[in-house]
Amino acid sequence: MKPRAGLILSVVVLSLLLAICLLWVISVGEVPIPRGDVLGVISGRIPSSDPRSVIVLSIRLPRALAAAAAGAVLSGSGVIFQGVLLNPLAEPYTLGVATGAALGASLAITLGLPFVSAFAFIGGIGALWLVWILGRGAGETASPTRLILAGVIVGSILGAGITLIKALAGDQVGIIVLWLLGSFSLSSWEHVAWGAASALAILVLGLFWARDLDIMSSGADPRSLGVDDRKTSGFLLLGSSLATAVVVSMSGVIGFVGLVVPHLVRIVSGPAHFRLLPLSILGGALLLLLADTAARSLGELPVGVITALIGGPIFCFLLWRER
Amino acid sequence: MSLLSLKGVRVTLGSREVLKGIDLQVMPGEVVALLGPNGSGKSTLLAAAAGVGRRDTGRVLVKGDDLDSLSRREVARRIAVVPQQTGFMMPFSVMETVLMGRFPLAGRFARLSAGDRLVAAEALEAVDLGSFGERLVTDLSGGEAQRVAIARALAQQTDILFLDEPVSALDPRHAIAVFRLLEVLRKEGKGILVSLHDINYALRFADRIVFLKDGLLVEPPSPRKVDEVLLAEIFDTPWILEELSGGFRAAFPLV
Repeated sequence: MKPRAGLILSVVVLSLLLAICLLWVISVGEVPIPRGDVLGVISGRIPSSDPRSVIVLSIRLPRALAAAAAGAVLSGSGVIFQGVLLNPLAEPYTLGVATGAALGASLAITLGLPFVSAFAFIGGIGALWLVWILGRGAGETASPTRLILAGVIVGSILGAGITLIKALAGDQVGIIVLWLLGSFSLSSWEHVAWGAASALAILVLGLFWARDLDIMSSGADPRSLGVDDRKTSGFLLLGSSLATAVVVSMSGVIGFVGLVVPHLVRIVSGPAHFRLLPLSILGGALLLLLADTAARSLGELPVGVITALIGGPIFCFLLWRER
Repeated sequence: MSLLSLKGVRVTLGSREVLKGIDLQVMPGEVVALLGPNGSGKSTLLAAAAGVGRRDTGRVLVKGDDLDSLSRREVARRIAVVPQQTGFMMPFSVMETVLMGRFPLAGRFARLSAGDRLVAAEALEAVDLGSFGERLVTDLSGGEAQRVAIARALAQQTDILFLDEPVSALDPRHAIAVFRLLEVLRKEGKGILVSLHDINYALRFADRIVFLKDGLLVEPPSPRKVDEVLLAEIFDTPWILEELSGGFRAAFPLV
């Protein structure tokens, strides 16, 4: 099969799967709603005053879509971080970007400041910058191990900062804790819009620079193959950090999605980014949609716990396989 | 006109001035071998000349144009670089990797053409990896990976080719095959600058031999004029240079 045909087929299959899961996910819950009724609500056949309509349109659909969009962003960011930094372990979580964003957002929530996302972004970029400086060492490019070590160290310092804020937060502590563990229980249509815009931004950014990402991740000196690596990696890292910060500021810190999904997809699609990125974005959406449903069904567990419980073992398996 | 011209190139790394004013020209159809002790700055010189490394002062002219006035893409259409370390990490196929050499010539979204694939396939044939297209670069031996990097550079179809110790991971048969390939490219009028560790490959295959010593270039009038005195001076160790039958010469460090 030609690569493009294979890609289109995979995208169609994954999109269909996502749509089916979405329908199923919306129908389950404390008040079961038959799938036919879900379609009825979405198509407008069931009036908006109907309680089923309220549950679907105000609660379950925005929540499901927000989770899917967040999964798309985290997974897509993982692909971009891994490609630019030439590091298979890079993702928003391991690089401290998510923790930095969480610190910025916690600070904003505690102080009752507006623009939580902006604070999350500043925190995320700040963390990335620190990790980059520390991880780069003497050479021009960052060594993979140093970078992850720097990410872990910066992440734990920032994590301590978050703990400190929690201790000092007083009444806000409940909100911060719930939010840090990662949850979509408070998702609104506004969240869906922001999440979808971020996911789209990641997709456009990544596809625009797909060939540059291929070159950068291949291990070649990107400049000798015509890639202006400073500019390109700057745009890509800033863009994916911004998208991550938007998601973190809405749903808290959710780990492993950006690590596990790209790795699994890469096994099937290979490392070329024009295939890897769209499929990882869809895969991430699917994973987080299902993880959030599991979290919801198990009495509102934090979704970050579910992704860690699913993703951790998968990642261990991948590590073991690549020994 | 020279394909490549370096004028007064100086590079300081940390507190050490590695290159102290390098002047070098590479003409079409010429293989220039660059030799020198470890740490003498061979890689630094190649990187500066390709615009991928530091250059503090001095100019580099590429086919008459100042390197600094050219975009990265344009430079990649004129100079191809075979790095010392291939650095392959992600499991791209050999063919995908060689096709990356075509990216500087293709539009951002333009599909690679059948012509691009043909060029890549020929480049793989040229390095004796014609049947390796579907293999993953992460599964290759060091020597195979190095030849993939050479094929990627060939696929760029540039007039200037830099190779940074291209045969260091190759067995003699494949090393000689690379030099035979360079002879073919020279006949096509390309200008080739290749850094080497082994003086014997340079004596056998290079049109010119330049030595880096203490940050400056030393060039004998011709490779025939390389003698034991010069080698001893460059490498700080005594050498024997033997005349072999057929007009060949071989050099050995005296132990």
